[in-house]
Amino acid sequence: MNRPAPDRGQHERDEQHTAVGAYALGVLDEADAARFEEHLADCPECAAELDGLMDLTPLLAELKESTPGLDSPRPEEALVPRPDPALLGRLLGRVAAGRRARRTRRLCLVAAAAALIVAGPLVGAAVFPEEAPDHSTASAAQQMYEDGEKIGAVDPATKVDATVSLQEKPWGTHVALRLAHVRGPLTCDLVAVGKNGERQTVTTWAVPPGGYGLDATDATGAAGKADTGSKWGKEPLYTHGGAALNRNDISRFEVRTLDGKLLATVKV
Amino acid sequence: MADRTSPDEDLMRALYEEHAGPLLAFVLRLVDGDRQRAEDVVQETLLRAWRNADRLRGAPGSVRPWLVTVARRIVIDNHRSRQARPREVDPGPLELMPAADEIDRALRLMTISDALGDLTEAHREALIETYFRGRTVSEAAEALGVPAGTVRSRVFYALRSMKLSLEERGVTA
Repeated sequence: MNRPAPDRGQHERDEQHTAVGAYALGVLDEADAARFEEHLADCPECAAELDGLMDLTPLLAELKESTPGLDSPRPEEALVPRPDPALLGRLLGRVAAGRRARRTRRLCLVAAAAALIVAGPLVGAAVFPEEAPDHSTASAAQQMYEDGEKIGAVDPATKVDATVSLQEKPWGTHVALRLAHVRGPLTCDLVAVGKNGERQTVTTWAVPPGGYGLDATDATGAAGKADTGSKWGKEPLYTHGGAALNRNDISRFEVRTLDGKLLATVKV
Repeated sequence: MADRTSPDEDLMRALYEEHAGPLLAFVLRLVDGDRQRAEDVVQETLLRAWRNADRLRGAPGSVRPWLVTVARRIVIDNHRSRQARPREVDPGPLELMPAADEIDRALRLMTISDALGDLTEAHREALIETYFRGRTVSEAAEALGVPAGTVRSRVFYALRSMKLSLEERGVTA
């Protein structure tokens, strides 16, 4: 390389100033590094700059060493990964489900209070408007249910009919639930119980006053004869969630109300 | 439903915006780069954070340590339950590591990752194509199809911004 012409001296000098970053990181090739060192010898500005940047290098080195996948075609994905936007969608879905459950719980309290005042047996049915089922979610859960390994049970005491449908996943077990013969209003959860006794909540949901998967004879208790316009839920509930337990480490599933009453047990 | 953006959803959105990316980077390290597994762990961690939001709000600045602790717990639990038989082998590096040190380190790495994420696209790319890929400026310039001088100055300005951004976040070497 030729010595720079005198009129290019300033430009060359500026280029050398900015080389301090690459030099601090050790990413200049040998010739460029030698040139920078020459420049550094009489540039106090660069010496100060280099001093400051050297604080940064151990941090970057730590990040580099502890990040797997830097040799992939997209190392940026490993260093500053952006989650799949669908993740936010799933999270918001769970938030909305939790909110619906809480709203139903509040309505239950209102209904309980009303029942105390009016003391009528049909108050529940009158107070609760029937909510339209969420078809998109229902069908997705139903599809997942169809796809898995199904094990079911009808509880002898409550008559609640619960069937789980299991799929092994790298992260544990995906669980879809079909629930029928249940009267509302209730808020429930599905709990996976491990062979070692560990309990993990798979999902929570609310049962509307009309219930799920009831036939006409069941429904008299739920909606009441006097209230013929009121609907009871003929369709079963399909919902789904996951547990961080291997399929083989799960001993049973329990469907419970959130206040602790056992509705059904499915041994798997 | 009338309340399209409930406070609950806003809170979840905020948790996601602020923490999902750095948390994902952290969990990816624990699960050896398994993306799907890592996203599942992030999902579960953020849900738990959202459920505990009242408590977490009362202690500002403690969200990240909490997230890291819980995410690590979930990874370990998953790891355990995925082992078919009772353990006879080594417990694995994850459990041998002292948790407090590991969490400090994780928080530091997340902050560095935050600072890297705040760079302009061009600056970040220059750093990644040189330092993180283990290439010289000239090699990276060729790969990127830009002059070496451009890569050199982008690396310089990238480092300067990172330094400022880390100082603002209270991280020093």
